Amino acid sequence: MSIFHPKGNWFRPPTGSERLWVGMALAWCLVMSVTMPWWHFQGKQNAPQNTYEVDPGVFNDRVNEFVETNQVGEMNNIPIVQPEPGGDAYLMGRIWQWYPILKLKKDQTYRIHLSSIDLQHGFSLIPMNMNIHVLPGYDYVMTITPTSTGEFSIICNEFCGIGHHRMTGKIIVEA
Amino acid sequence: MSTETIKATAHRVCETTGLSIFLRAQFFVKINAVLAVIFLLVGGIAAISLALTRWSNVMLLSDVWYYRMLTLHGVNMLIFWIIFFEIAILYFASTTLLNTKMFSKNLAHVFLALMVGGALLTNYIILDGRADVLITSYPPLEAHPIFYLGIILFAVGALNVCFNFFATLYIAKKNKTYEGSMPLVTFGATTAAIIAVVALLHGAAALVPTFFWSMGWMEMMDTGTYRLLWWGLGHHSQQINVAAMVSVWYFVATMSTGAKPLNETVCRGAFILYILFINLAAAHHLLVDPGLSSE
Repeated sequence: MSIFHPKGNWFRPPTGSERLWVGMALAWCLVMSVTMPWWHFQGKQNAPQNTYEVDPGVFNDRVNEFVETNQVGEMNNIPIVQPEPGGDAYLMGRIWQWYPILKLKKDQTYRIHLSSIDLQHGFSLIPMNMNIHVLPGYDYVMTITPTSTGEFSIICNEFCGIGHHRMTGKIIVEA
Repeated sequence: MSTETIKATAHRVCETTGLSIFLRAQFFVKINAVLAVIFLLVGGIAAISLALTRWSNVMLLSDVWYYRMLTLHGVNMLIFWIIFFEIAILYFASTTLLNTKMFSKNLAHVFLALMVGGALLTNYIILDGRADVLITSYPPLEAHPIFYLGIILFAVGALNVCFNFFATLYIAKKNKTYEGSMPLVTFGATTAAIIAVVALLHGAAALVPTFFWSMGWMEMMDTGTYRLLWWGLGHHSQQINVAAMVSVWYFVATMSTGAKPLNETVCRGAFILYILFINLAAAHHLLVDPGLSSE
């Protein structure tokens, strides 16, 4: 019994249907263990990315320069910025907004630099279900190509203080 | 026998189960189990207040108090309740089931005081509104130093209870209080204790430097490194729970129906595989967080 020490030599390999179940469980463990790294590289679920270290102040300057050069409009006091197709775009998380609003072209490829200048934030693209941690001090560069047009919302999915639930942003994709 | 030996080995025989209950260990089994459900109650009340806030017709809490109760809920459920109950299981499984006295009563009192003191400090500072950082407390979001200090004291206390547990296993083996292999339930509790050591060391590695940072004694830890270390606590404390819970299932099955394990080899093998490979399930942070791939 499980609360008393087993008598004698208790080692007994599983037999019969027990052996089958244990074997299936072990086989499934192996499949899942291999699948996790395999899917990471082959699943096309993660955007191709490079990460660089960056000083938050420097990143802030780059974002402002990007906005000054490429601004095409404004919505709710937040600039709408249209980067060069094939070029670099910047998106900054800060308490409590995503800055600026990006305007992209369908089927064009962009390098989007994502970082925070204060706390940790979570980039969550709705309704695409694309989720990326945003850490201050790290410039996370995704190479992405929008394949559908429309307005996409960004929400913050990492707690960043009292205004966390109001931290939203936008990416616009045009034909 | 000396008086001390008589006191240390004093026990009663449980009328229901016929098992020997060592009187000194009995106190720590009871107090830790009771404390566990008290912290479960705290976390549960917080959970109800959160549900009543998400229910848009009620909207019980303001946004400030919502995050405050969310912090309280996480810390009490994921850390205090789970680990206090596991400690109760460790004291029970190492003494009654191995028919031995506990290694040290005095140390057990010290560790209990550390755990209770730490839990009270952290809960106080959360409710006082100076630690609205959620359970994860990702820097540079900063809580009052007492928030980190409380969890550190709790972790140090719990870590040392694990060593008290291992020492009790050792003296039982040395004094030959049982024959052959230890019972399956104790084996499962040992699994939980091993995982607890891993969990609590990760917790200390994440929170001690963060505590120093909040005191202004050192620079902030790298944010990516913090996340990785913190989840060494977050995931493992749930895995402690799983190992301890399965042990209790085996215990309850035997107590209620007299059931015995179909195959000791499979039961014990599963616990060993769990210790060795469950970390793979926590590795997704390595794969998706920015940081490790940085140039």
